[in-house]
Amino acid sequence: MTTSAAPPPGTTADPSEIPDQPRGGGATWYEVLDLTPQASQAEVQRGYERALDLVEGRTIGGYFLLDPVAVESARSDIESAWAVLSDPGKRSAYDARLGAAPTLLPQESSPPRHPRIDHDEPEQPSAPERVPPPSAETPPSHSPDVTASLKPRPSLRFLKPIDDKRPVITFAPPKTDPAMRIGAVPTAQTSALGAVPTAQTSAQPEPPVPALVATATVLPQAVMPPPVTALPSSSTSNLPSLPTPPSSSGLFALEGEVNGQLLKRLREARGLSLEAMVDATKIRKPYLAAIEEQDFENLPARVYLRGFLMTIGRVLKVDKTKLAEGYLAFVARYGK
Amino acid sequence: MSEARAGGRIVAVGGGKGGVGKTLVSTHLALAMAERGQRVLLVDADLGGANAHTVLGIAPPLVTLSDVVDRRLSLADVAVATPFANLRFVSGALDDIAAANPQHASKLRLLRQLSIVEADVVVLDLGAGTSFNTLDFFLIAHTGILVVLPEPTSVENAYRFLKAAFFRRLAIVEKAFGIKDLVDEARAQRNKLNIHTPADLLKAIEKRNPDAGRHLRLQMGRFVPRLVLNQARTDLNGDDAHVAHDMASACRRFLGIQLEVLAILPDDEAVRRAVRARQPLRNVAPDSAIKKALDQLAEAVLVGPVENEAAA
Repeated sequence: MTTSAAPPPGTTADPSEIPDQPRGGGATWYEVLDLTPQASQAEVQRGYERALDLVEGRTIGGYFLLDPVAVESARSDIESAWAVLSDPGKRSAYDARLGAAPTLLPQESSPPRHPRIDHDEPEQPSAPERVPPPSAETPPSHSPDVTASLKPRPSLRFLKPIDDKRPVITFAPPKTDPAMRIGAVPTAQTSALGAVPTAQTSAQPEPPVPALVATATVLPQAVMPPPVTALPSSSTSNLPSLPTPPSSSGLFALEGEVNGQLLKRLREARGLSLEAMVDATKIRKPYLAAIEEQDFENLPARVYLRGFLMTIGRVLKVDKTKLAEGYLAFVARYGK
Repeated sequence: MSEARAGGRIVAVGGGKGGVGKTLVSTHLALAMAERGQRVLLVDADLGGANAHTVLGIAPPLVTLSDVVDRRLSLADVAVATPFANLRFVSGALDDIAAANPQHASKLRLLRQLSIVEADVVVLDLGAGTSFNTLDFFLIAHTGILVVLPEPTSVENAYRFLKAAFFRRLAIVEKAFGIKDLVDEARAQRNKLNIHTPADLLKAIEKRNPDAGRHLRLQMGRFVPRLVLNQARTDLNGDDAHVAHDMASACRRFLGIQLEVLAILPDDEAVRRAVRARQPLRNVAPDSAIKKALDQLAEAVLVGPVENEAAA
């Protein structure tokens, strides 16, 4: 098991800082990231990024979903969800807490929950209830499958796993297909936790009941990196080499130490000014500058830093996970 | 479908923003349902900017909702026959500022009449905005449809509309069930308790009083607005349908509102042709993709579950 999908060192602080359950809409951490308990690590990561994109308004569908204060609140849910679900140990402890009496359908390795944009697929039959695995052993679906999230995507904003596979009327592609889907009686989607309906449409929707007892309301505190004491010597002699042209994956390769200088050179190589980068990433300029300048004191809280780095990686068309992990490692190495 | 109710099934079409296709959707729904043999009453409830008559291709009727608001006539009196079988039409107030902002009592009277009027289906074409008038029409409906375009402005207004409608319904429910104090108390402390979304509020109330909270949650769980994404395209940049699914997912996860994606309507030039011809789309472009999708939408609404009951 690689560590690439695990939380960056130091991100997940004292578990007591993570609330027992989400404060906002979802009943579980899985729901916050729009996942089922069967989600692979790659899916957890994708869910995390998508959730941030939504609440921060980087996708059309999330535009102005929340006011600025509520964004912070939602973000803390997302970060807590990430902190719990990205850490195999915490995750299985959480699964154990959730699934008091789980029974399991026989299940192959990893559930097919890959991004789909095809709405014209035949309806899935009303799925039998899916519930978390019974045994304590980690199901194979937890094994990291990071590559899945790194496939080139024509447009990130639109490509997401459509979890809502309830019937939707949609138009057929221009040509022939007469089989437009009728959104007849929407079937209630079986939820992540057998007992918790997420979107029920019958006349008597039993509302989602939080599976966990609400006790803690403590938010995870932002973990600021300690002030800089010793920056790595940044002589021009060890300037990072620019990435090689895109591989077949459509991404530029990323080699050597990931640091602020590299990010800056990458940006300049793409012909982007800092302002253009602000536009493209929707990250505020002081943060972008601090990241590039390796100004550790003014970096965003670490839990946000990761999301920012992923976004930057996306815009720079490099392996964003590698970029984020690399930079976080760099901060961990020199930031104290 | 049970015909136990006195009046017909009320279907409201709103959307927060102007120009998103509310009138297209509502007129077409009405026509398609009438064609299927339902006795339909189409009400242009866009009190400030009524123009459903133009989309239908009929002259503006001489009697309008103004006359109902003024208590001169009843809703049944102002429902005029149309050239379309099974379809009657109530025009919105055309130039009447007073009628565009009816007094509370007038509005209640109108709402009551809508719910008992003789028809199988009552389709309400709502105006833009999130005024109480618009929200109340949306909330009495058995099926509340929100029309949205895959554009940030439209999405932004749709979220505003959803939140406003949620809180409006909450106000009705809390009064009806005598838990207004509890809700007010939570609301008064919203900064202290970190309440920013409908979901936060319900959780805070539930914590305070689990029984009342559960009850409230059940009541609010019946608020299931339906989303229709209009002018959706599928091209190299992706599939606009994702906007709709993103919205539903975001509503559930971060607002605690169940939004159900009902239909994705294609961007189709036939709509423009129909509007210019001042004829219903189904006559101008009977074979268009949008016409077929709208027919299916009508079918889905007809066979779909009845929602949002007991709101008024």
